[in-house]
Amino acid sequence: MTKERLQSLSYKSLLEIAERDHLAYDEGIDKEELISLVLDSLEEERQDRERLNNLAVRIEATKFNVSLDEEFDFSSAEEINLPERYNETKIMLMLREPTWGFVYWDLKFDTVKELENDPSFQGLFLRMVELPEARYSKDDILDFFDIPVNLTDRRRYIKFPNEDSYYTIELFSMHNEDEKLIVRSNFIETSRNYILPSRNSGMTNSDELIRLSGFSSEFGAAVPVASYIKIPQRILPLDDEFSEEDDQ
Amino acid sequence: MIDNFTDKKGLISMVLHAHLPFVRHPEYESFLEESWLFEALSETYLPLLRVFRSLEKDSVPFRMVMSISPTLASMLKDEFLQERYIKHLNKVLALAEQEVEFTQKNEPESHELALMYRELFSRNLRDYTEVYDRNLIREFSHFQKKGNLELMTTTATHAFLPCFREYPEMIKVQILAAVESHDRIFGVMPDGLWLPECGYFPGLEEFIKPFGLRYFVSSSHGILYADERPEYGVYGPISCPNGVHVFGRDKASSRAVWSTDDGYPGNEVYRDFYRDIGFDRPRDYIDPYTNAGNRVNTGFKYYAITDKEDLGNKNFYDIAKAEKQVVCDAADFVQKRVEQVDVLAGLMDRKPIILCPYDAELFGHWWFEGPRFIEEVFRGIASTDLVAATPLDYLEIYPHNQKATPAFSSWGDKGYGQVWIDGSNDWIYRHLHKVIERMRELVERYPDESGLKERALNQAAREVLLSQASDWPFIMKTGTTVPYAVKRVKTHIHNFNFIYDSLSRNVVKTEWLTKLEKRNNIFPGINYRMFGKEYL
Repeated sequence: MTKERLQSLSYKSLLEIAERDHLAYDEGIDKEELISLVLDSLEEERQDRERLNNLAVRIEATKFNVSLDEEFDFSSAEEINLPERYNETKIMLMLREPTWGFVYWDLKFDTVKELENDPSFQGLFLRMVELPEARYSKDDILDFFDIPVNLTDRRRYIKFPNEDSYYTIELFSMHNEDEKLIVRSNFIETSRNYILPSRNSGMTNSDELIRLSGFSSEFGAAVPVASYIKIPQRILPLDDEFSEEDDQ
Repeated sequence: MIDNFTDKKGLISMVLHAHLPFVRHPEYESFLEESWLFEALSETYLPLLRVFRSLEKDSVPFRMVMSISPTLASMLKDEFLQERYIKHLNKVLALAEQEVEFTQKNEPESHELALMYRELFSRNLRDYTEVYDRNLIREFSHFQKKGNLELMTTTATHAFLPCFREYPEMIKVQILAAVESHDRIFGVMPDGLWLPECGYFPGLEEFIKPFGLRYFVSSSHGILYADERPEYGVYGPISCPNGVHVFGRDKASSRAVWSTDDGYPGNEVYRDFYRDIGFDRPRDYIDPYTNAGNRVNTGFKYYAITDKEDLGNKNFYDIAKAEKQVVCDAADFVQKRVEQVDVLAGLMDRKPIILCPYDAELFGHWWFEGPRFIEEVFRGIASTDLVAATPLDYLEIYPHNQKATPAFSSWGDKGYGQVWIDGSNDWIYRHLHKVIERMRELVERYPDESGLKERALNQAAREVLLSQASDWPFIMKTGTTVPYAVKRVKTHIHNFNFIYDSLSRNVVKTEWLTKLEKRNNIFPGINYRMFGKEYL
């Protein structure tokens, strides 16, 4: 088991693992105590993971489950270090879920230097801009808000205010009273998270078929029907009840 | 396709998605992660083929879809991995002999199970070497030609496409390389595309259509949240504006197999996945058969699920009880689909299709009795008002379907991109996107190279593709074998960057390149120019 693997490690390596995992230990801790500390932390981590991952994820993960102690990688000899930065000014916005996105960015080394040496430089901020289409026009901006970031920050998760809308993110620098646009991201369209009403009055059974498609327990347990029943206008915001997590 | 349909009330379409990432390490004498393939072969692919043969022998009219990913298909065809699998089986068989002896003397309760495993692994070796001559691809193709299987493909290295939507040429390459690989390996062009993790974003269909692919599968909410209310829910496909069809996953039948609470595989009489003699027997007993240097799963599992919470509190597995249960569960599954179709047929002006997609490795590897379940399901369907069919069969009968574009969705945890864009793995995208940009740049700089440079460029293209497997961020998120996943992403990016820098310096190390080509030998016919904007 993991314990055996840990026992085969030097005291120094165990200390390194404890440090890496931010484990609190008393000075002079002996090897056995250290092993048990690391094991407890691993177990806690495993249980957290199990709690977070639903069954489908856990089952899929078993494809890759050949051992119980593979959280460890002791092979530092083959360590590959990727470039931390690519000396480019870039910002990329990715849609993670209907109204959450992930954004990463970077600045050219020279740009960073310039900012650092500029006495008027007060900081950076991200501006989330909502637009009616995937095209930027100052006149078309529906809404925007700013998020201050540090010079060393390079990624962030951001909540979009609205579904079914377009967004771009801009990186600005603040200089006294001025703001300067450094770079603007790609555009993304936030996703719909509801079922649209019918435009065709001939779809007489559509309500029932949609209910059977995801809200019925008649053929095996399914998600609760409450969210369907309580929305009379037939536009169904399904909240968390209609997630694949519940489904699987 | 299906001859006897008119008297049936509805279609049921079982879709098994078989995929493993490309794991091949000739540079090591043995490599732990290669056992992903070996376990899947022993527990899923070979048992499934036995099911197909059994149904064929009894003339049961079974018909279903399998997607076999290009990475898996390449590994199934790979002589080096075939040889290693045989070595693996021989080791497992030697362990089986020891287990038979050990249990007879010391653990009589599991002796019958040790005998069962010895028979199973002997049969695997016999089937693999003598019956199939190591060529499972030929066997899957056989069932395709007979009309029992419809083989679809997925993207080249199983990339989760929504993460690459800003790189259209990359999406094109993932699909093109997959279609070419499928054609080369199976000798036919695929008609359907399995979107890895059912990951879809509006507009993706535009990349699918040019390759003659007629349909893909979506998560239920991808269809339900479409830009037009879906007339038949998920019981009829929708057609994207460009004519590519989308079939939605049925939640009830999915849940019957996946649900933690009431899914069939959770029954206490079924074999437990986690309790394995690799962790129960002494190290000096196990080590000679695993060569892993630590405790690993061996495939010998003697316990029934019994208590889901406590690995220590389990009853011995009872083969007869499990067999009885699986027959019962399959009958229940079929009966529920019959009842479902009875209701649906009364609401629709056409026959409903119930699409049941699953990971193939669920059956056998995770759920030991799963292949028998599939066999019994098909035997059951044959005597009902249902017909086992495929999406293509449906499209032959109903070529015209409601126009609508699905919504961004996946079948992953929480339904979107939460598994693949997460704090544990989001660091990879900065690098993955960068190598795409650099690959594009290489194609512009070297539009028509030959010789060593062309080889280097082709290998660079392979490394870009291999770095994008959805398996790596998935593993980082779920926490199994994380160091390996991290190393794989980093290694492919590093290999690419090394080639990129070498080309910039106009110095390509032949020996290094040759070694890399031999190791990562997937997509032998790859053409780096496919990354060009104008290609195709």
